Amino acid sequence: MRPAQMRRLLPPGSPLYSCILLVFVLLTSARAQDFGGKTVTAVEYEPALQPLYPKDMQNMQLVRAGEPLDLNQVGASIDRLFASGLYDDIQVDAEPSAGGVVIRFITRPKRFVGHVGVGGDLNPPPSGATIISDSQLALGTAFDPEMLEVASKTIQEQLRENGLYESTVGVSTIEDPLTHQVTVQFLVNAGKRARYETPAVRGDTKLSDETIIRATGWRWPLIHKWRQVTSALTDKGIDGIDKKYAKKDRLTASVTLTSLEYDSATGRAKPTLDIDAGPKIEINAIEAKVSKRKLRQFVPVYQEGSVDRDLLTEGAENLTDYFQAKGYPDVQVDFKLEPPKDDQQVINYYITTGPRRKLVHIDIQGNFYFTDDTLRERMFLRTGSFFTRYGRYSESFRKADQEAIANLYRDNGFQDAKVTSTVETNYKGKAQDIAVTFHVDPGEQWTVANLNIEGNTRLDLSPIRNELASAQGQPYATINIVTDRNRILEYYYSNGFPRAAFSYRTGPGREPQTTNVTYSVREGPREFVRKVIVSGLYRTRPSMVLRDIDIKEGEPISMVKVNDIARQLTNLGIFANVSTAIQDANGTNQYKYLLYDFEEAARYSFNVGFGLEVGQFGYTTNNLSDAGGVKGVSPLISFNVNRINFRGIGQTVSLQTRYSTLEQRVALNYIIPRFLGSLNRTLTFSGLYDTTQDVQTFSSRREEGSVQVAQRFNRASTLLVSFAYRRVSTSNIQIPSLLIPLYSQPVRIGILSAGYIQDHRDNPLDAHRGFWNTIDAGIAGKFFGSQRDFTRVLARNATYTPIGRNLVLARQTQIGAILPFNLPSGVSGFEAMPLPERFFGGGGVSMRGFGDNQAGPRDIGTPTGLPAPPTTTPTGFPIGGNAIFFNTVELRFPLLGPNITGVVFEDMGNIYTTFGDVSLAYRQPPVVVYPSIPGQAFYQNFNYTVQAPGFGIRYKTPIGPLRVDFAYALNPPRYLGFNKNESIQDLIGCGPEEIGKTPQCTATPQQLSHFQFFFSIGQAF
Amino acid sequence: MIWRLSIASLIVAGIISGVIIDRIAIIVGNSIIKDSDIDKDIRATDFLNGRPLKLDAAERKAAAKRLVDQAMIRREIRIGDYPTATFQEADRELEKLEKQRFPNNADFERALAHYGLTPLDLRAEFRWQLTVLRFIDQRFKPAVVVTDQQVNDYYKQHEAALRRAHPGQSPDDLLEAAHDTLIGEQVNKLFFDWLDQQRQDAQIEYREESLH
Repeated sequence: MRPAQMRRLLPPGSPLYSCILLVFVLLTSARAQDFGGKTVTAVEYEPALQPLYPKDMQNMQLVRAGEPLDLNQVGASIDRLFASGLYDDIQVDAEPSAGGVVIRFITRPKRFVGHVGVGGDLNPPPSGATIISDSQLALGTAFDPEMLEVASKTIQEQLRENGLYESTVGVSTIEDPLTHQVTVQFLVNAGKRARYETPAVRGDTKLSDETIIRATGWRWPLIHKWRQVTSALTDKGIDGIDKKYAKKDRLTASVTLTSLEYDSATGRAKPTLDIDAGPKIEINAIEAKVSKRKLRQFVPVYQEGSVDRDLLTEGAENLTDYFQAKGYPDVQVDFKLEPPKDDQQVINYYITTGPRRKLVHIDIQGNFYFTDDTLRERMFLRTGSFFTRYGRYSESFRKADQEAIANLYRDNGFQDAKVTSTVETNYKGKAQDIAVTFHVDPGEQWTVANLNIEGNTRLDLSPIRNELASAQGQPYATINIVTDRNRILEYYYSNGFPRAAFSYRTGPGREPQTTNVTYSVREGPREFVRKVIVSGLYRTRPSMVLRDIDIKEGEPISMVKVNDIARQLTNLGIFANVSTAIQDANGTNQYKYLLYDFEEAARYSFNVGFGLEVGQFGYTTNNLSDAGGVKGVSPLISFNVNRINFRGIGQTVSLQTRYSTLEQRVALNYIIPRFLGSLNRTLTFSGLYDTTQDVQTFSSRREEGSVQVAQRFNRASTLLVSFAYRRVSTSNIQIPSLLIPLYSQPVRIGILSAGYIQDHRDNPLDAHRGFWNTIDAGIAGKFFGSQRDFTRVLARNATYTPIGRNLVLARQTQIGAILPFNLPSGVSGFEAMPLPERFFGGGGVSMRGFGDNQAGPRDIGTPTGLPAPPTTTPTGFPIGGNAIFFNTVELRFPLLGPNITGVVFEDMGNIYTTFGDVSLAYRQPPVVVYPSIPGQAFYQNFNYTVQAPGFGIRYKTPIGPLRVDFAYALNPPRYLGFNKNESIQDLIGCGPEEIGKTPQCTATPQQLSHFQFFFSIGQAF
Repeated sequence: MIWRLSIASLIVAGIISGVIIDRIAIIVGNSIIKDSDIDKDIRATDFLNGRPLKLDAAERKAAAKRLVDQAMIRREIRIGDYPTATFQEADRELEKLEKQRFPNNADFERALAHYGLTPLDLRAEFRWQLTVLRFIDQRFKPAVVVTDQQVNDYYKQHEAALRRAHPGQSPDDLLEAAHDTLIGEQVNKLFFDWLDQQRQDAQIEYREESLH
């Protein structure tokens, strides 16, 4: 009978059990010694399948069959096996056998926390993620059933704090018998959420209960219905009362929620608030003007909600810095706490500003190792300039700059570098001017004589040797040693040495000012991957993630690699969270299970957006007036649905819709990431239905199917290859000539395109440095089923160059051409291109001298060739062109504080009839006069370059700068068009003989507005 | 009663055929104390104290308590990277003991065998004791401050006892001895306070059957 069986028969604690144990112990102590020295005939394990990897077992278990039994080795084996962390209990049993003794290790494996999930009837808040986090069950750590009780209580507490007083929490577990990972599933039944009720308010509140209740926000205003309890709302309510008191200058008010008692009969929770309003605190600035807002910013009493000497002193220091930075270097700030009187405590800050001075000169003496610019980049002090009139100076800035310069020298081997500074007032005889001189005493530069690395017996460090900063002859500096330490340890961690440690020592080198450096590495044990265990996948096919987890059994554990893979998996966008851990990370076993645990993201996501476009554009109507566009507003609404992880293999289906007065669009995309096994290759199938009215001339309708492969080479470079087949048609055409069936009938286009994007901008939303290149080329032809044959190229180059600290010179050039071929006889290349396929341009992101899509050729009637006049009346509406050239230069500069910047710009360019018509001419080509219509000038040529300088203001927001631009076109195009409300039907009735003769058939000279403005989000480019 | 005795007989028979020769007795945090550790501790303690060997439950419980404290000290030594005594130092202590208590090596060996110990066991025990003494000194002594006033007060209160303990020594020497005594008392107090705290904080799991 085994001891385990014995325990089952006789429960511990029973008298018989104790009696037998006594016998057992006596026998054990007597007999254990007796087995020592006998030959071990066999070593057995119970259970036969042990949690240790066989190789680890071989190293850790020292008792061997065929050898004499050494009881010390038995003890040492128990020690070692337990240290592996994989056992809860170990006993060693000996049984006499023929010729010796059989040794049996009877063990109980330890269990470990696996995937933790939450299900049931959740009613966030708290969210599932919060509940899992509250459980405090960390992946891969030892599992104990008692942990579940603690976790359940914590979750229950969290649910109650969120008003779910009637909630229940259950838990179930499943253990994997092979890996001993325990999957934990919490089952939450949230129940109904309680509502607040009228709080009990106690203490000296100085405010009415009603005011306090309003401040909590726990009751809806106007309707006076109590809101549902949530932890966040409870905290917000307390905060609201605090703020209310702060507004009343009661900065030391104390508000405590002492209880939130639930009444199950009414389903309401009654808060009890203990409040001590405290005295009114009045903080004044005496002798100098400081706004209330600034006082609140600089005196931390407001933030801390208490008044003590330390906070007031800190306030004085902050005010000193503030005034010094504003040009008062001699400012003196002191404070006095007046005795409390009549429920009021007055704190006066006495500020003697002294004369206002301007920092006009900064000199650096003794610097020989760096350029002055290198030092100045690291300094806070600034001389006065256009942007900072008095410069930037304060005592603390000056000291910080001294330290910054000294640190830079020390980091480059000047161990004894010292930096002092002197301030000269009355600089060059001007009373208000000051100059600061920094005196650098670098001392001697120390270099590394020899670098020796010891202790690296199992890992060859030669691959990183060249990367070490403390190489022979290099400056000897602590920062270099720190850098080397990080590199060496990272290398060890990447190669399976999680406990590697680093130390260093130095000694004098042979030459003066040289140091011998010795790095000492303690490698510690090397750990290997026993197996990768994946958990938490319910809807995702495991093969999809296993394909990405490129980790083989037996390879050294590299947490760098493990985390990189986790990041890649997170980037798939189908997981809310990817956790990694090593099972029993602190155990001494070498072969360890590597855990990847997934929390799948919600499969469907919906988003609804509302927006407004403001600018110079129009709507396609039957109104012929204002062919140059009108200032208008276009509201828009968008609705998108995404279904991620489609079929459980990480693919995405998305439906994107957008509706505005200018555009209606529905797009259905099917996205296959990692196409053909490449991490950075994506295949996308798209279907699109789009009607656009943002060009006033016509409405276009596009029905398109496309397939695109995007290959990302690195963070900045992407190649796109696509084939699109679309049917484009126009309607609501304003121009009678275009009603000719040949040009208005639907056209099918099949086009194969390739694009390349290089994006080296530091911040795509608001770039300050870098460049951005794009090129897109396509060919459409009959061989692709296209009804038009043409090639299309569009290239863009933008650069962003910082000038000094504050300015950015940004420029962008766009150039493109459409080159039709296989033209039908009698049709020009320009005429052959369907309107929606042409280039349109002008507006806030292309050329600000035009309203949206107002650039380029315009309707000049149907020309028949000189000397005959056009057969239809010119309307002046833009009709696009086959070539594009825009160039923009923009200087971006700070304007007001850190968030408001300004730009001045010069935009030039236009849309041209054909690429051959591209011209940089400033003047619009001369008008044409037909002999048959004397006295009327016809503007027929728009191929020149419009110049438009302007300025703009940007306000920084998290989603990019809010932008307002004002442009003045110096030479906007002139055209013939209508300025009254003429109906399209009237115009259709105009025969060739009536053109220019009847009022409704007579277009008059017009000119696009010189002045344009744009309001939007994001920089122009 | 008869059936109980029958079961007991069966169990004893089972035990005789398969005997637990060692096992985990106590888990202290991440370390363990085995049956064999308790056994060895009793044997070494009884030997060093010159007491007859006694392996009953009370002795086992007392040994277990000592070993739990030692486990916590071991952990602190490991975490704090405190130095351990060398084997040479342990050997010197072993030699001293042998000379003090035994006329010859044969008697010493015989006595060790009687207690079920080997010289190596005793050497390890000495090494550990020296390590603990060093740890206490390094860990707690720097925090002790004894003022002259305290030394003088102690001297006045315990002058007779000091003279008895240090016969023929000058008053300055006795003051020095008082100073050392006060330091020792405070070090001990700090040490035991620390140990109490460790006992409260530690997760200790006793396997009941090992302590009977």
